[in-house]
Amino acid sequence: MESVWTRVCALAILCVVAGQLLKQMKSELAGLLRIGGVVLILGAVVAQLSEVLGQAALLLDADGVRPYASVMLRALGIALLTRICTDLCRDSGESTVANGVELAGKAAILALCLPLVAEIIGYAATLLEME
Amino acid sequence: MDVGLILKIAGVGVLVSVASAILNKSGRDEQAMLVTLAGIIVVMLMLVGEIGTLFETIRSVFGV
Repeated sequence: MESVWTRVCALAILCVVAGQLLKQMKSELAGLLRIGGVVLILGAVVAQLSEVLGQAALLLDADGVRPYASVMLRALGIALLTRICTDLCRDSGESTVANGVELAGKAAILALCLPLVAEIIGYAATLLEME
Repeated sequence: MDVGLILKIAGVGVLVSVASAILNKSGRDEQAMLVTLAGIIVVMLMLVGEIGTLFETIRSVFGV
């Protein structure tokens, strides 16, 4: 884990330096370099995260929690991907596209959570009937 | 994590910028534009595979 962390830092500094150089020479390619750096760093981080998430999944494997934990993990994945994409768009000066991606992510998470909301409403309805 | 990719992109950028500067100086503006376009396409081809790998990894890790 530690060596990956130091390599991520080194890669980020390399990206920044090369990006500054490319911005002066060919600004079209600086954006692509940024995307490449982000993709590499995130690939390394997510590969590391998979071990941690595997252990967390073992902890969350109790019967009552399992469906909710999977929804939580999926929402986390969608949020991460959306965040990366919107940040890349904003850095390239395309905030309209970024807003569209953000909206798509919100809609995806809402669609993911809607069955749970329905479940809560069902519980509330049964409680009210008991009164 | 392949650090070489970043160096490759930076190298392509430097080469493309030098080539397009030379072509611009010698009055061949269209060819300079085409060289820039070729550089962008080459870098995008390098990146597409990596982006696909990242998305697949995120999908498999988070079960999206």
